[in-house]
Amino acid sequence: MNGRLPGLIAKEFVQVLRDPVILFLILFLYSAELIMCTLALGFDVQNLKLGVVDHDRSEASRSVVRQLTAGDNFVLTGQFTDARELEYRLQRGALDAAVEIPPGFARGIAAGRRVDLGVVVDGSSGNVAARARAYVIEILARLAQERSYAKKHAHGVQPALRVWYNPDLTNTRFMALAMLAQAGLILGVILPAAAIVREKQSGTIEQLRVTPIQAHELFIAKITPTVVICTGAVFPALLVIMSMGVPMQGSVVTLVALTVVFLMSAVSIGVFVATITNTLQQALLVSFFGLFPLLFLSGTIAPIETMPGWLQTASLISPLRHYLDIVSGLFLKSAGIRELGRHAAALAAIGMAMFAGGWLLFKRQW
Amino acid sequence: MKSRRMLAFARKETLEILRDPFTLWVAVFMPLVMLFLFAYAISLDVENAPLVVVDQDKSAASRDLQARFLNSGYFMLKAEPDDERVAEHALMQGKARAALFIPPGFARRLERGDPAPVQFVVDGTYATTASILSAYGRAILYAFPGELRLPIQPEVRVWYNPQLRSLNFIVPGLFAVILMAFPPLLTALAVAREKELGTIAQIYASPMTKDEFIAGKLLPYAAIAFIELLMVVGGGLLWFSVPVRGSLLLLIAIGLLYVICTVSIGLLVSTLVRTQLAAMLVALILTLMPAFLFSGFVYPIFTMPTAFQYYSSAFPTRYFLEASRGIVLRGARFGEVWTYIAIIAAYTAIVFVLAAWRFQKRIA
Repeated sequence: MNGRLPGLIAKEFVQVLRDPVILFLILFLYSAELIMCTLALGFDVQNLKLGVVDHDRSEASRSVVRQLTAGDNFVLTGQFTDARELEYRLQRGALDAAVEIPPGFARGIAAGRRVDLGVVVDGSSGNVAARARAYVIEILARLAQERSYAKKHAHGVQPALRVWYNPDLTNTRFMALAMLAQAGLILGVILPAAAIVREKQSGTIEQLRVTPIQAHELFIAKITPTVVICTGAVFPALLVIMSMGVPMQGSVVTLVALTVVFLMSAVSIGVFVATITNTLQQALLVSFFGLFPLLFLSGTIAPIETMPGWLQTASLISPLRHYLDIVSGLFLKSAGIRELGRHAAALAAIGMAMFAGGWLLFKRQW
Repeated sequence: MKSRRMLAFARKETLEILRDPFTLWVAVFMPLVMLFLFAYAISLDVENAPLVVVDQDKSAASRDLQARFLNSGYFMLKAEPDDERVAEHALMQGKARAALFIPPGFARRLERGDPAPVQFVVDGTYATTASILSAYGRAILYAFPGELRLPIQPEVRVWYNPQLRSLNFIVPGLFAVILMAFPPLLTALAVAREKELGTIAQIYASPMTKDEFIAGKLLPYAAIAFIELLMVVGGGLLWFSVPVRGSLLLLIAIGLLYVICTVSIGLLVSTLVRTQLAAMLVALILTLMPAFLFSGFVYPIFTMPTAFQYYSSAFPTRYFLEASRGIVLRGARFGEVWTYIAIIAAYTAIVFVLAAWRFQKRIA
């Protein structure tokens, strides 16, 4: 063992560091992509374009419009006299939502009758539509409460709303952490898979086979550069994340330790891919194929609890899911190793299973 | 450009693809797998969010309030602990997304006409669902204890997608994302492989011109991409029973243009790099990531800062996505989508010319 493994590892490092394009791409994924996505996608749906047709033209109807446009949710884009104009503008996408206040609105309210208010929301971008609908319902409920209690001189429920872990309700923090985790998984799978298969494809693996190098030594040598480089890349990413105002509430040591565990499970998938493929093209296609479910079932893109039950169960095999819980726990919820222990155990289990599978298959080829 | 030579080259490429059953299999089935995975996994419907209720009042009024949350359809009872810390722990672990704390004396205060404080906590990790949940939660609280139907009754209609069913806008959006994710990668790998294995030298030595090479590579891969298009559109619309308001033929025609565009992008990528690994990473950064994140597929474009809105308009996915959603959801006709068609066509031409220009017939 003396010097053989270190020599092999050194050779792998030289090979990775010699390709400036790949190094640039690694850096790009960990910094530029992270910054871009955080800056661009962190925003809440606000300033929706609202059109109004007020048939009533009373103090009460005007106060409804005022309430709707008081916050950041809606911007009054136009007052129209005809509902057909609303229709036309919604169809063209010039409006996101429209309110039609019927004649007799104020009289109805004063008489204590229930009055219907026509609200139309453009459903072609569902994300926006769901939000617009929720905003309208909330604002009108508040208005109704204010009016009815002002009359009766009584108080009702006093709601105190708190948003935990992310009080400003921006996506910024979450996005930054999700991109950090995604970069780790993508590179962790692809780099070692490519490194091993390249030897197979170009035939240089024959030369390795006639040396006293063992299969597991080759594995270790192939994965070390990826794990080291990607762990190192976490630090600049950490600076970026912190400069964006995401507080680090847990400990950095825990983060680095768990990142290494996560990367080990990612590279184990890469090693496994390399053992079942023979050409670089196959290896890259298979990793691409495998990465998708892992990315999708991780909660980085859509919340896991909105998925059907069988997919929620399947998501447990995605290392990214566990790692995302780890980083969001460490950064946002000040979780410690006690809360994160089971995620670390799951990552270790995934890594071990994949390594064992890869090693068994590779031994037969060696 | 001699079409005979180009066609012969395209035929050779086709044979090469057909003799690699593994790649062909992946090429045909992967988009379908992606379609199903995406469509099942991405749901932006906010319903049945797990809620923990800590009811320390245990009165008829507090039970009524809880029932209104659960009957709204937006919340589902996850647990009803007596201890606040249990609820906090459930939020911390992500087992619950919202918590309702009703303090003792709630019913008494309501009866006396005093303000009755109630705390409603939402996990903000997913800002999108959190803001919807908080709005609905507040609406329920404001209405309490009055009638369930408010004096001002908003009658909300959602156009183009009345039930706000996620699948109806996710699936037409997926056509745009999947066809940008896969065909360019396949194409980029094919050319980069020739470079990496050195077989490209034979092309250099042949009398074939640059544009013949690019067009000959483009044809078979565009054909594969077109098959992918038909499968994804057919599978997506039928399996998920997404109603199509507009013309399916128009959608497929624009789709054909779009896949030629995405395959051309793959060719351009392959002229920029020398190895397959680099081709894959560049394809990921230039096609998949922008298609997924900056096309308006999930994240609405108008919420992005201006600079990124320009960035998003630099990729064709955005235009095909608009056209696809327009045709499927709003029943848009040619007159309403022709600008998108023109942009995609111009884009394709530019990318093709750039790829032919970047492709150098020499051994570097």
